[in-house]
Amino acid sequence: MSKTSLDLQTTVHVEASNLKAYYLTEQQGVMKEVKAVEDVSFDIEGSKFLAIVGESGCGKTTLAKVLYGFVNSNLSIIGGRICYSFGDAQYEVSPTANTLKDAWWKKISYVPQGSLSALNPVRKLKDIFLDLANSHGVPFQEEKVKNHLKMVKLPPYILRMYPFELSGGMRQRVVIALATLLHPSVIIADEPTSALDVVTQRDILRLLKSIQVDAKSTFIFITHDISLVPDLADFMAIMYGGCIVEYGPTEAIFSRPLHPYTKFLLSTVPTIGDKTEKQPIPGSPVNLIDPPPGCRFHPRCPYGEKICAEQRPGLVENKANSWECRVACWLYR
Amino acid sequence: MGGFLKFFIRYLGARLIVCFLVIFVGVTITFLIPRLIPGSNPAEIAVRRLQMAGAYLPPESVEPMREALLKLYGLEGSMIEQYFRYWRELLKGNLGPSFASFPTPVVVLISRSLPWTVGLLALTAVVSWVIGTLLGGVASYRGKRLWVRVFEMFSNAVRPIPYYIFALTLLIIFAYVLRWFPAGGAFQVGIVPSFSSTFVKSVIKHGFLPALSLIIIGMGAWFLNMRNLASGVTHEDFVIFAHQMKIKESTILKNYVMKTAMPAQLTGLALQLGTVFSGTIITEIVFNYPGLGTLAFTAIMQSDYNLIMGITLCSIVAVAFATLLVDLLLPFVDPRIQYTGGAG
Ligand SMILES: Nc1ncnc2c1ncn2[C@@H]1O[C@H](COP(=O)(O)OP(=O)(O)OP(=O)(O)O)[C@@H](O)[C@H]1O
Ligand SMILES: [Mg+2]
Repeated sequence: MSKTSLDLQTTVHVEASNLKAYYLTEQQGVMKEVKAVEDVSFDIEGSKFLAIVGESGCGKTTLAKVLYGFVNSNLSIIGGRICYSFGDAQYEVSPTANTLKDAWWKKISYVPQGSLSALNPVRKLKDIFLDLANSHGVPFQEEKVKNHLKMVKLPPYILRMYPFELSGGMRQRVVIALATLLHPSVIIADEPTSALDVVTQRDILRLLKSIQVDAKSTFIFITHDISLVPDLADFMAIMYGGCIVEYGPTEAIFSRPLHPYTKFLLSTVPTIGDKTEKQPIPGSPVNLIDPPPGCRFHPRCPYGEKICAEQRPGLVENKANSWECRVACWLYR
Repeated sequence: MGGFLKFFIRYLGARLIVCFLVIFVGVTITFLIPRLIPGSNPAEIAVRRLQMAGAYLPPESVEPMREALLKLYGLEGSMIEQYFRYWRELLKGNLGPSFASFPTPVVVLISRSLPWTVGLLALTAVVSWVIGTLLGGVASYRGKRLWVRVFEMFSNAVRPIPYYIFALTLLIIFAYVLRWFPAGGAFQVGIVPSFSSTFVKSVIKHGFLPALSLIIIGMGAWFLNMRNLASGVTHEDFVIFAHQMKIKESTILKNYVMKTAMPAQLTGLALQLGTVFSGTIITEIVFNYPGLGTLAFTAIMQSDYNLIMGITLCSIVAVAFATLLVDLLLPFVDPRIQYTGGAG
């Protein structure tokens, strides 16, 4: 790699502003909107590891799809936009334009949530790699691919095998190998380890981290398990009911969580020697078809005030500490 | 590779045993059924026919006559004796004489009709399968194109029409009204079968309408089948992921969507080839085509046991070998099925 290409990679800039994406679904003959991504904004520059954390059903996968520009007639972007600038080229996804598709896999790649079923069951792995190379107009060199597999700790002979002959962890590594084959600058990984055992999970997370550091790429890592984040991510975003409720450097959020929901999430992380009983968060998750007015967390929030039920708080900077944290909560106004 | 051969031979052996078992059971059942239906004994029928024609038969001569007929037809002795005799003759390739066209051997009758049926049905089955499968696969992928919608509407419109009505309509329009094609037969009467161009042209002209009727119906069915199979596949995770990887559309269609739907579709084809004989009766009657279907029809009408059994035997052997073919082919199109038995 020449110096200039490294320079280009360090100037990656991802900027999401007021992203809004809804699903259209039919319920009992009536078309309903699932407000799965609401007013999401963040901004990352350079080679960073961003973790997006939230409970099941809060819209993480939807956000990942939107960030990847993978929208269709069912999921559409209602407002806001996301811009990628890779130094030399700009791409955007907005309600009216989606140029990001041109950058797919060469500049930005995606590890889907259902990675274990993401490989063609009737095609040998070598052919899958071959398809990928052919489709992107790069020569297929088996030696290079084998070296690449070595990097994700896979033996070269798996190229001769079918996906069903691999273990879950191996398949996950294959998907990661596919996602990194063309050296993209941005990688979005949606729960890449959720279906795996704890040891494999740790190995794969280490692998992802080392890829991000070595290739100086930007990672957007999505998980429901906040305890995975500390050794991994530089920044984290806490998602609740389609909104980002808190955003900031990982250390800052772990040492001084601001949003009541973040506090709940952190209180559920088990630590050795801790004898206190874990309290579940009271109430039930948001119904995204008919979310509560105002702050989406207020029905479950122990500090709820009148304004919380009336207006949704924006994600604003909080200077409570020396770090730049953003929180969407009326308590900090 | 040696290991593979060993597994393959073991696999083949097991399938062959099943295949022969199916044939054995089938033959036994078809041996029993006509003999268990009361009043269908051909010797009785022949005697009755004589009596009905007004011939006076003294009662003491009826019995020897019946016995002579039974012997002639190979129906004397107990059921068990007949059964063993049947197998012995069968293994010698002798299916006995036809009762209705006595003394022509059944084998001769069948070998006269078989080529027409096999030619017509195997050809139309393969042609309609290939076209229907290709179009169905592409349609699952490009569902909104105009030609797809037109073709789909056409297939759905043809489907509920009973085949014989459809076939008769074709016959009336093209053979009687427009007079483009002959109304029956397999070739012009008077031409001697040979490889001359007149003969071949005549065969094509006579076979065109029955083939067209079978291809239109078959193609529509295969089209809808493949489209449903393949559009199920287009929603699978690995196809979505292939799109996200920006794999070329043509590669996705060919190697991701159609290839995955192929095992089920291919099974359908092989099984259909097995039913070639039973599926042909209506076609051959409507178009007056001298194949196995017409032969079977007359055999049933005339209680011609030996001929019925001979035709059924063909059918059983065909189905059994079609199933064997599926078993041998599937591991090639679907790597998850292996000759070793299990996957992995
Ligand atoms: N294709 C779809 N059509 C309609 N609604 C959908 C669709 N996919 C997801 N949803 C809804 O959108 C909401 C967010 O779903 P999403 O998959 O983004 O959740 P998630 O945070 O990724 O959950 P998990 O951790 O379980 O993967 C859910 O309420 C879900 O019911
Ligand atoms: Mg998800």
